[in-house]
Amino acid sequence: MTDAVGRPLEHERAVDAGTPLIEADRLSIEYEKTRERTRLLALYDFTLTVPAGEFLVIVGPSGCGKTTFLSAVAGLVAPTSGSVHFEGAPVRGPGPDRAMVFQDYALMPWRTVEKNVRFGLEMAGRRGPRHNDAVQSYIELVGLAGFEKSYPHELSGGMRQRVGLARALVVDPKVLLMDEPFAAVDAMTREIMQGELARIIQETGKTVVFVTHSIDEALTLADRIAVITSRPGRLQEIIQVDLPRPRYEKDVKASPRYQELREHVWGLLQQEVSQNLRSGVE
Amino acid sequence: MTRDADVDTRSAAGPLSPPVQRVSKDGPRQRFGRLLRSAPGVVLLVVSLVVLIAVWQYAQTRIRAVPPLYLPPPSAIWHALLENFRNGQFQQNIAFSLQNYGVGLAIGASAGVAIGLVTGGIRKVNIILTPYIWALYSTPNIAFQPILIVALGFTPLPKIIMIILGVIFPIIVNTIAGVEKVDGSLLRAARVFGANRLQLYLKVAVPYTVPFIMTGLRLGATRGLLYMYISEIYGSTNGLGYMVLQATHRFQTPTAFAGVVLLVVMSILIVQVLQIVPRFLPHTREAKI
Repeated sequence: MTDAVGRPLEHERAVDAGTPLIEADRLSIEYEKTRERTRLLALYDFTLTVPAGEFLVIVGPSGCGKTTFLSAVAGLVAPTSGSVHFEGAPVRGPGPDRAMVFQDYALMPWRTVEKNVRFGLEMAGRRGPRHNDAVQSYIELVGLAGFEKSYPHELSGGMRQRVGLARALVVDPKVLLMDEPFAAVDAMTREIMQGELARIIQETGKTVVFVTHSIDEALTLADRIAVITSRPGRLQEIIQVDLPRPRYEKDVKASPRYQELREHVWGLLQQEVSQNLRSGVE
Repeated sequence: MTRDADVDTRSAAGPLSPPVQRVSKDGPRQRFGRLLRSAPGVVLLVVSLVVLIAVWQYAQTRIRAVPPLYLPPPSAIWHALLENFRNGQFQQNIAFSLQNYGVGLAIGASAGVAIGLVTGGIRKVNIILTPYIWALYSTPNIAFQPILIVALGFTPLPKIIMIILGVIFPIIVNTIAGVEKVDGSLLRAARVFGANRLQLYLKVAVPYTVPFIMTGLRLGATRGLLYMYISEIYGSTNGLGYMVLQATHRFQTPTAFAGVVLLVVMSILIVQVLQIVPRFLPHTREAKI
């Protein structure tokens, strides 16, 4: 398989099928809430492994530590106890092998589409014609050809997130960390974006850890779904999604297996949410 | 106005405007009506200005509501304006004032931005400098003028320093605010994509601050004009402020008013220019979700 630029994927199956790309072992993360002088346990005793090439979707109620897990893998927060390993080495900080797509896009408003996509390359001091070609080809891959010179404020939410996706892909990371990337776009755009993401991931062969609230989004995209409990976040169950691809077609969503999986995940979450309601957490 | 432009306004006016074929039959009334609809703000402003001047003129020539020595009629101010331009007095004084102002604004703005960026970016500098900045900002800096004149004499230098003092503080304070308020999610994204501390500052915080700097510049530029004027009233032998003061001492109130009119026109021009510039910056426009 080759990536969008036509180069063979450097890391493709570089890791043995048996060796996980991401490995969280009894990971706990506590935040200091300075204003209230309390500590918030965001993740507790969280163990999860993600093999290379997998599309893992994490589902859970708000405040269950989904984003915290992504931040830990990205190297933005350090474990309070336990560990996160990436390719067998403990995560010590951000690196070009892990890129992130954000819910609020986090695009630099003073940069054009092209310069936003280039951001990661620029930080790494990667310049030159080869990288210019890469920027252009990823802009085309996400369907933004012709908008290179536009500013984020001139784009719709869906288009902004395409920029966010291209910015993450262009650094050729080994894993894409996606933090509710389509939560802020309208329902129709969301379905289109899901379809395109599935296509792009299939083309590039990237490993993805994707966080969402939406069960349908999870079932449309995931190889596996990890359901997380809230406060503190713990892994509740992992569900293998054995549905045929591509999934955005009607017959897949109408299939009995889809409904069965949907009800199963919904059952897990419902239990969780009603427990929280009773204990007054959310 | 060309005919092409006429047709354009019409097609933009929507279904209620008459069909395009009848362009030639348009009288001046229709045209005036269209002008009112297309630019009501500007038209209203001009009309109100004309009315104000007319009422003022009438009140001071026919009724003499206030002794004309205190409030000369617009016609007298206009004559004083022309007279002083003819004998070159205005040009010379304006040149002196604007030269000081230009130098003061350039130095004050660049120093203000530099101090603001450093103070906002380095915590320890911020802690040390902030009290001084606020103390100087809230003090009427006119207090320094006598000392400056004693030290530096009747030269342009104390005036330039006064203008710098006027310009610099709003710019410093706004620049610091920009650096401090930098969007956390942008910093987070930049960190994920490998930005080090210096890059976070130069590639995120500094560009993020540009609109704040523009606000500071606008406030500083008008405040600088005030300080320019004041610096010429006291211990000066030249400049717009000096001229107005001299004119009032000689009971030449029309000349004094003419000087004030010039000052008003200058401030309006400066503020307008500084309001137009930010429109060319992409991120002063709505850029979030």
